[in-house]
Amino acid sequence: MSQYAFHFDGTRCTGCKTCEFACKDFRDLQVGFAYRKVYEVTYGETTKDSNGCFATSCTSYPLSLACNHCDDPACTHVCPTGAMHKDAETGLVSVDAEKCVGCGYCHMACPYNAPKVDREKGHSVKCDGCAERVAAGRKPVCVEACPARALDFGIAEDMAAKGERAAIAPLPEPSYTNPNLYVKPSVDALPAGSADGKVVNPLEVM
Amino acid sequence: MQESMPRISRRSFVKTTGALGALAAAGGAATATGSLFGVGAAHADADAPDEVVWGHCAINCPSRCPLKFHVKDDEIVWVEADTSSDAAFEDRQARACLRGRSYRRWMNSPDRLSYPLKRVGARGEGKFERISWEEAIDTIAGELTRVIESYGNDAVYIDYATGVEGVTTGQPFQRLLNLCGGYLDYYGSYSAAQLAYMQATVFGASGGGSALKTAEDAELVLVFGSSPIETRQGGLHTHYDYVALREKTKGKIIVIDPRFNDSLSGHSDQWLPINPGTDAALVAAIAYELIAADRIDVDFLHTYCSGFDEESMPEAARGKHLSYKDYVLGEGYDKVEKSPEWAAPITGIDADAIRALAAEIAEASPLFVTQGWGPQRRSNGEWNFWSICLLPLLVGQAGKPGTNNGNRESRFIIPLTDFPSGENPVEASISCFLFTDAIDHGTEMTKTKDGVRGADRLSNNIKFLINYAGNCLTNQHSDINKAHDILADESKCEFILAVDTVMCDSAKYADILLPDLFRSEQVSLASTGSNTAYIVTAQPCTSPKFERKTAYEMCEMLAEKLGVRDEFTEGKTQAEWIEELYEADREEDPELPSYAELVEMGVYKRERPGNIALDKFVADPVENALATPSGKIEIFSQKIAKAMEEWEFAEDETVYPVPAYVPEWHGVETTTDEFPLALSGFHYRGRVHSSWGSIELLKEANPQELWINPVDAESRGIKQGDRVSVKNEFGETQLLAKVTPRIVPGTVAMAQGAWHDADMQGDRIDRGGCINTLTTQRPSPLAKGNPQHSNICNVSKA
Amino acid sequence: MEAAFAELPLALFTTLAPIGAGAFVALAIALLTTPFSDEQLKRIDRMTLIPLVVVIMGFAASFFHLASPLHAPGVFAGVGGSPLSNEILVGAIFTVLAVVYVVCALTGRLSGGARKVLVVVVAASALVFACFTGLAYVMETIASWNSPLSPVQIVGFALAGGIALGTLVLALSGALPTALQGAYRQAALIVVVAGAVLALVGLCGQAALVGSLANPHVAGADLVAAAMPWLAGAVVCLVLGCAATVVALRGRSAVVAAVSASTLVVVGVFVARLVFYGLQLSVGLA
Repeated sequence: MSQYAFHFDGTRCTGCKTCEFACKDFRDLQVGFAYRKVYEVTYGETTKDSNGCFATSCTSYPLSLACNHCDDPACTHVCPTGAMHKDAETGLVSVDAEKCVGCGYCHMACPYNAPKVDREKGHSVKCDGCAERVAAGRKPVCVEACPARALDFGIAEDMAAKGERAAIAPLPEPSYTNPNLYVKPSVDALPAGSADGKVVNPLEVM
Repeated sequence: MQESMPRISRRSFVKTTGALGALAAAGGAATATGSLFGVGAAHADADAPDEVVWGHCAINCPSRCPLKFHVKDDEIVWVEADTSSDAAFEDRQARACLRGRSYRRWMNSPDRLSYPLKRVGARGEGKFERISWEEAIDTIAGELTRVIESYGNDAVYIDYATGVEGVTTGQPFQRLLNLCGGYLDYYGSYSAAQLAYMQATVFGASGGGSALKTAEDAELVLVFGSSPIETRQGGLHTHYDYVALREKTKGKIIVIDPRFNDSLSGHSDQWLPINPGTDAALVAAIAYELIAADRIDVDFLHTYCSGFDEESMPEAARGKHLSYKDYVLGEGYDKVEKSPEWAAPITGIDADAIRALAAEIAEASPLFVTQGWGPQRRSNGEWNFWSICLLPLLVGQAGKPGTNNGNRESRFIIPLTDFPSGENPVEASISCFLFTDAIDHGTEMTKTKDGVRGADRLSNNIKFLINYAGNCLTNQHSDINKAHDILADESKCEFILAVDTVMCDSAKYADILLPDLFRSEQVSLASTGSNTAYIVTAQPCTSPKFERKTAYEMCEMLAEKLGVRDEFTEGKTQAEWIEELYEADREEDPELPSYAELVEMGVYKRERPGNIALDKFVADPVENALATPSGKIEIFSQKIAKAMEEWEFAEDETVYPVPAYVPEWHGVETTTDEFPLALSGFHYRGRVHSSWGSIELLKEANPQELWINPVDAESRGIKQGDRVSVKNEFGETQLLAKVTPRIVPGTVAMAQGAWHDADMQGDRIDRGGCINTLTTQRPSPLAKGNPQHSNICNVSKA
Repeated sequence: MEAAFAELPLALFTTLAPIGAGAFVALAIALLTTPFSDEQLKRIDRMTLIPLVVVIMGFAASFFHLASPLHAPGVFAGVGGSPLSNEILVGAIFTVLAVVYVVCALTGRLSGGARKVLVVVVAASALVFACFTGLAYVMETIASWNSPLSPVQIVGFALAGGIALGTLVLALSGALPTALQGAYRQAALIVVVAGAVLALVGLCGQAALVGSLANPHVAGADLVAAAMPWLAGAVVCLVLGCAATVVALRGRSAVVAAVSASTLVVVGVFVARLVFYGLQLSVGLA
């Protein structure tokens, strides 16, 4: 088996959301659903002193995140039907719509906000790593879409060579699920678990 | 490149009919039965491969990315871009942004127009009735003839509109009107009016900036009010170029902006926050420091510039302390020394920080200074632009590798010949921003008061207006409430024709509204570029749906009615014009592929040779003298000095012939107790101006928000996500609060282009967060441009 | 608390099923402590349909939570691995046992000894089911639920609610006075107090725990603040419900007291369950 993984280059990402929308178009997702989302972390302050001069410690960075096709996926562990499963060949995690009961436990369990139940479709939905494209030799549509070339996808070892296993805020420590996301952080990035590393654009991502 | 054929989940019948239901509602009495688009797709053979058709974005975004439409059964299934799996960072690919990737949603939007419509309610009310093409053409031709006969051709106007900007066949109405005796033209733009005026004034015609990649060689890159990430998205335009620059340059980047814009994300060390509209004060203080430290490159200024000091002043202006140096040292003009201490409270930048920046500038070689179009889109925009351009000149950092002239970076574009508009017999033109004035009181508008060009005054008010692919009647114009009153009065502009793809706010003011085809639904060609030039092509990705037509076909039908069809078409279809004009261009530029090859390629790219602003002039200032009165770069402008004597200015209007700091009206220094906050607009990733502004998917992930510093929010009891009301003397708009340290205290900002959503017969409160509810129609002093970032307001919880 | 209201079917399920199951614990205690007459047993058995129906209503509610209820048989695929599968398996076993018990009892096929054995088995499976219902939420990635407090509170609800409902069954059967003459009163009192303690410790303990947690998306203290009025309401209902149970166990206006007790506990537990879902706090982005 060769486990696939995403790579995220935080020094390049501009938070433009092209990845998210390329996916939404390709997968024909409607309002309320996004398989890839872009989180904004902003901290620090910008103030004005008595002389009217500014001081700033403001720092802000984006993180583009989909399913991380974890080594130990929380979603598959809690799935009662086995619908949420990890492919033996590629390590990609996806939903078997024929099995899924739509209980939402995967959604609750995933610390990366990846799966979500689509009640209209009657099952959980999420990024499947564009398994069909990958099988055909392409990369996931989000990766090929990125104008800033901040995303990559490939064999986990190759991605690991380009960055640390996802340990920047707002992500949880990677030890929970061992995500197949490798990150080259920007200088502004805070470590996972940092108290300042809050998601400041909840409307856009939740 | 390998093409895979991924299978797409089929769209449901329910979804399609839902969109159609809304479409029918948007079209008033327009019925949507019979050829329901998309219905067939549900029964499509899932195994049949997609057909891939090249198209392109055609909107007012310079990126104009190529798009690959994947089509099945005459329906777009998904939209790809110029991509491949194995492209390295250096491999230039024109990767469309989130909007390009959402084209399908726009094309199938519930707001899409499908039939010719006739207004049945009040102007602006948005009530229409479906009519036949024949009735539409008869009415338009009849009204045009009537207005020309009753008033003259100069009562006919084509409003500034950029919805299909960049395509080679984007101006068919201009050609049609020129064949009918002409029309009142405009000059300038809503994008960069002040810049265009001053670029010509300071540098002459050839005042464009260096390529952005020139900055890769710089030691210090100073960026004033620019965010290419937000304004020029995509993988082969300045978005990519800027990411590449950040990665490649060894120089330090400093972004001077009131807003921690998206181009700073992840790179916070590069942000130098400043009060909006005060760039010229910062430059003056830096100049003061450089003079004090004797770091001015006087030789450079004497050789290449006019008016820095008394010695380099034009003869007629000497002995009056009118030089820039006299301004800075307090010897002339307002007699105030422009020390860092003076600038600190104005700019919000601490005096020591200004001194430190001046020292860095003095040391940096090469120094690359660039600016966006934000600093110039202000009530003092002429001087902001000018002063930023001055900065590199002070230290002699222009015309050599790694430098820029302070102007916005220039773009490399392969020139293509447009479908000819012909000669306009009407000589008068107005600033595009003043069209509502010209409707309301055009005959009172003069050269010296309103910047009328080509005539001393207008002899007619605008009576017949064409708005093709634009939203500048209201949404993107200023003071929407005032614009509404002028446009809604049918006795003023007697007929309005609008042509658009969707029912935008401006379209609601049409008397006749015609349904346009997107450029990717017809044959199209456009040329654009940034560091890399590229040409994009489109073939119809689907057949024309409903009764939509191309603008060319509409003009052809009108030309027939007006008896000028043969002159209009010269016997050619739009597609034939495109091919013929391109092949003629290819004779001049044999490197270009043949038209057939180009259509097959979809996108043709060409790397830019080196480009450094002013390099020829600096190499030989005599041989390559600039087209300015002095033949040099004008730090003292003889043209403006003359205008100061001849033009009429308002009492609170200060005009300087040097790049001085002009405190703004409606600026940070002129806030009031009632409206204590400055308000600025910015470009948003979720829209290009108002294009895509109604796409729910984009709105969901890119909410319309007011950026407000926690200091200003807390004192108003405003929390993140609250719905807030922003008010000033012009109106009220509502949107969500983004409480963030990414904006300086005292200033709030909202992205321009959100769709105006107000009951204009009722309370007129805009619930769409459209900034132009709050902007003024008063133009900037010299360019008569739109100062849409200069506003004051107050904010409260809605 | 917005998230909580999206989980109404789950809240109903985790309210009704444990309380209905808990009533069999009360019945087991009564049957073990009290020699009822055949006539009384017959009436008790008829009234035992009430807790059974409550349990089945709970399961029925849970189906509204599912996006594809028709795929529900597949949930047993995850037994052993998925805590949810385990819960449903245990729940199914309990329900089958309870149905078998009620059917056999109603058809008169239970001798005295067999009845006692079977009701004890049903009661035991009821407690295991309640425990597993809580355990279904114990997962490492949801910090606010990942503690013994999750099962503890549901066992508490099952016991406190079960005694209230079981006492109501006895009261409606006219067998309560007989039961109160023996050890039922004391045993039931102990269980109801124990249940109340477990419920309150579980509930309040969890609120305290969540108050100290935070993730990049939300602060637990904010969740607790939003849930606080609901939490207070739940505690009040539970305490009053248990008090009413005690009144019923004293034999005064037993039916009225037991109806009040059951209603209050059901309402209290339901609100407590909403609070539980409102206090969901992931280790990551939820």
